[in-house]
Amino acid sequence: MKLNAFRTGLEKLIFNNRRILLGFFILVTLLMSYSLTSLRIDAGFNKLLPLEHEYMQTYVEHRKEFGGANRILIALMSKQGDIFTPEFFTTLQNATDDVFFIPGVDRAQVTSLFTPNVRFTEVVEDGISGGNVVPADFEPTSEGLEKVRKNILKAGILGRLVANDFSGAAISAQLLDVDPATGEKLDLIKVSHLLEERIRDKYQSDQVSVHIIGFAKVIGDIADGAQRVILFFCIAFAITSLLVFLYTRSFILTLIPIGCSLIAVIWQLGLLPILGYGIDPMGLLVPFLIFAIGVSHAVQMITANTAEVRAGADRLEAAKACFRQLLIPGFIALASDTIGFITIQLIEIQVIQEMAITASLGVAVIILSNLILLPILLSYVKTGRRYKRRVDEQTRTLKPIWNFFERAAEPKFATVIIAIAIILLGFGLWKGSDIKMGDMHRGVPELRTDSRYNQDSKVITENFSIGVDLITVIVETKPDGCIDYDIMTAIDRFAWHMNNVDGVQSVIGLPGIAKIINAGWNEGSLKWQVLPRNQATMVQAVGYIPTSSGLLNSDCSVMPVAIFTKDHKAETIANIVAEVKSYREQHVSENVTFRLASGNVGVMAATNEEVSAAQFPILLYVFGAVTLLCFYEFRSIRAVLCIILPLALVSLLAYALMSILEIGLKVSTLPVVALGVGVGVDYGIYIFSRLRSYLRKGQTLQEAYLHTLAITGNGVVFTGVTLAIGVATWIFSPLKFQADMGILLTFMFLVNMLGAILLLPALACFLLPKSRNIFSK
Amino acid sequence: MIKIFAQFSDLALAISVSLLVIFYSASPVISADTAVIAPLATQSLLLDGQRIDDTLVVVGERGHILISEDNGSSWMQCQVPTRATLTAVYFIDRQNGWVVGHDQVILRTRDGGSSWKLVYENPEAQSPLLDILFLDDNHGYAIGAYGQFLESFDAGSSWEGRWISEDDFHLNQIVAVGDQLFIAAEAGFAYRSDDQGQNWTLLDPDYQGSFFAIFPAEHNRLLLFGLRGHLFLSDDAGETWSTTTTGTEASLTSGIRLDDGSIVITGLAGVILTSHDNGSTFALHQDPERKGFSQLLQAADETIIAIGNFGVTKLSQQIFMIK
Repeated sequence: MKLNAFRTGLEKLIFNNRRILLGFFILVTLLMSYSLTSLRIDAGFNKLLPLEHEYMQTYVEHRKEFGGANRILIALMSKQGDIFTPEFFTTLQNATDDVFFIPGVDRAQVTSLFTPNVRFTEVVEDGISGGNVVPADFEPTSEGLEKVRKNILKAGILGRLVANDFSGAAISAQLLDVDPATGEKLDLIKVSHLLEERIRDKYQSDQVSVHIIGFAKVIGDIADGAQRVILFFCIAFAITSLLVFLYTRSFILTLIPIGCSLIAVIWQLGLLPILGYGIDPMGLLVPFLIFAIGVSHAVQMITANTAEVRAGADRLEAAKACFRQLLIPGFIALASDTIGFITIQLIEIQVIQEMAITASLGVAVIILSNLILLPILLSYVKTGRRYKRRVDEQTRTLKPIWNFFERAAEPKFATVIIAIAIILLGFGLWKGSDIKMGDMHRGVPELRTDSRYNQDSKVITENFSIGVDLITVIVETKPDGCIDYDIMTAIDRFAWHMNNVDGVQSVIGLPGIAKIINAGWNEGSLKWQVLPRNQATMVQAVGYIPTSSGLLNSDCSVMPVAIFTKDHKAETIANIVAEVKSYREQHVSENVTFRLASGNVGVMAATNEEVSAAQFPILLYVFGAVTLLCFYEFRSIRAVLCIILPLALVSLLAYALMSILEIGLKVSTLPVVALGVGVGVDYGIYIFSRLRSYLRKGQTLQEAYLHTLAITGNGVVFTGVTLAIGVATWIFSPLKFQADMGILLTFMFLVNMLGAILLLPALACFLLPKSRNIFSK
Repeated sequence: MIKIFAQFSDLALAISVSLLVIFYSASPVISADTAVIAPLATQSLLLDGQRIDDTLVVVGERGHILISEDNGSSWMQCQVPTRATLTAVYFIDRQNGWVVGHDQVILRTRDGGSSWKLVYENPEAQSPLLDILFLDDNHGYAIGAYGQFLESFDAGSSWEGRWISEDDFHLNQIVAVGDQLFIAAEAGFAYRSDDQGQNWTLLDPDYQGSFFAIFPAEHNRLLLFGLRGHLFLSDDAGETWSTTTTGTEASLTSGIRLDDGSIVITGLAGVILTSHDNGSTFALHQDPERKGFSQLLQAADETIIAIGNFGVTKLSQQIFMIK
């Protein structure tokens, strides 16, 4: 009863101070709009890393010495024949010069046929001779080109800087963290655009195709795709507005719910710069989710209001009535959403945690905008007779539909529905348990398989012997460890062990290179391709390998072993990681520590483990919170079951869908699964709350449900369909993670809606006692 | 650098020689290290091979010994009590065989490769054995780097070392031709023994680079070849030599006579030289992947199998048809 007194008090407070409150909302919205202007896209690499994870700590510790991750590779492919034409060599030379002058490129490390750091060595009678692959006196004549061809073979750069069949050549460059010209953090998006402008656009021609890969390019392409995301947001917004207009048949009643939901988005985005956040491309879905949830609640308010108006209330009374009816269920539903968002904080990845904070703030804002501002605005809306006529007409049209759905609450049909639900449950358990962690497809997972980046990546991996999926095991030894035969042997044996593991394509480590150099010192004889026991000889074997190779650090105590994998499917990664762990357990040595992991696949391994560890706690907390809140509201285990069981089924089916569509559980999709529960619970709470109010009046379940459908059901079906259509457009996004989210959210909106209007009453039919006096006060 | 290194080892060797006098014998040290059975052993560095009737045996890095009984279609990796890189294999019959390698390991089998025993090793010497040859069931030689020359009279159970020359050149390969023995050695030298290895005569073709192999052709002709594609012919047991062009600067590693009588010499950088006229002229084929070939074997069904830094693979017969 206290709650009722509080509600009445709040109602008086709000409706007696409508103008002050309106002024407050306008003022805050203006302030937030101003703050919004300083919102920036913020695509950091670190934000995507689970920095607390064991593997990433290894990565961070050794990042300075083995940066390596921020490399770009540009391949120029000859469209006809091979690279040995004067034109191609001129193009390659000019492109190399241009790469050299891109801000942020580490000039000392630019590598191509034309850079002086690319040398060949050959065994001759009195030792080893060598020189630049493209000699200083190079002339692009047929003799000059033939000499270069021979030097390429001698230098062993075939497959690395020159395509395996001589059809192309590559330029490799390392990016610095800080732009030396400005002293500021290097803007990767700018580097990506400069690569397009100064390299691809300039050198792409009838004879030469240009292919560029590297982390900076990925970030640039995601950022470019993100601009399209805003377009998709606008499309979804337009579709939603149009459908709301068709639903309300009133311009003003369309403007109010859309406007209130937009205000929530403006506040949420305005809060970001105030809290010191930018907007991450991965977090772009949040504003739309806030908008969607806002619309969902606003439509409930409008529907309830219209019902009151039709019943004869004046505009102020109608607004007050719908505020009274929906404050508590709306608050409970939004609180559940908020908790849903907060729980994804459990994933210790900065981008997700930012998303959790900003999204839960956004939902909290909806409580203000849609439960307080919206009824105030409604209290000013004067609806004429024409509006009433239109609504009456709509009600008549929809009546047969509600009569049809009402049967869900009749025992006969309820049995069928529950039987279907049980079959779906079985299906969900079967397929859902198949769900995979991480990514399942080739190429960079954020971008589509057929995106230009992934196609460039494919061209490069097919024509060069270069892998793009890499997990690096950092081997820590003692200073000068690389000239210690036992240590080098230990690393060599580890590398060979990993080479034999399923899913590994190739392994590169210092010992392997040292062996080849040792053979080189011994007239190139394969019989000398071993690690020398003699320390002076070992010094000779490793002394010529620069630290820039990424195979050793400056005091030679740390030697990474680069493991190129066949793909980056979660099971491949998990298998390789498990092998590393079991190997190091069996080969414990005081001087040699094998530490996981660096490289893009190393990051994926850590992320997959993080997501995998967080997924069950997240679902547990979300369901726990929703259960408690529903129980607080309805004080009945049976009521809670009616709401929770459809939700659980939908979550399980979402897993099954992901498994069928080969969408992995990862940073971009796990939040959707957690949030889907939040969206679904709104529907359940609203329907059950109104159902209870009719049951309290003494109606039978079937009567009560029919009346519920006409008001709340109307809103639920409408929002479910509207939002599903809106997000379905995302499926066409150039960004793969957004397309995946689009599929999942569409599913969540639709199937949660079906669960709420079909399964909920069916469960109620069996679970609620037949007495007419349940929920009576 | 190589020169400096060579001088350094000369010095080290001089010291060790003075300590060990001229004859020495080492007791076998049995290490616990055993080769790991690995799926990719057939793709590891393989250095020498032999066909004995229907059986093919190849050896290489990490103590890998692989045996095929189906003409090279499938290979079984043997349990081997070392992980040293193995450089040469010699079977005198189906049952009895020996393998040598780095750390101066010598392995012996008496059951056709089913089990291997480490009969000798000397890791402290820091130099490899590079070839092995048995004249009969009991009498054999193992040769290696820095003039290493070991001899056994008891089927490899015990070995005695001695120097066959004042120089300490790498002894790369040893072959028996009739009653004579030949060794291909470093720095443009070869050796011949007319008395089963008691005394050795220095042979000196006009070349300063290493010879990796010596191959007996028909009609008492010898082919001696090695660094940078150099190949020499002798029709008088090595007294005089003439050179022939090979068209390659890649090092040549070993020779084989195919069933049709042609001679094939393999090399690094994908080089395959075929001669249909007993070694007088060679046709050059270069493998597009530029594999480093150690050796070719011809199986009982005439399949030609190559081994090298890529492991083991079958080769197309067409390569050898070119004239």
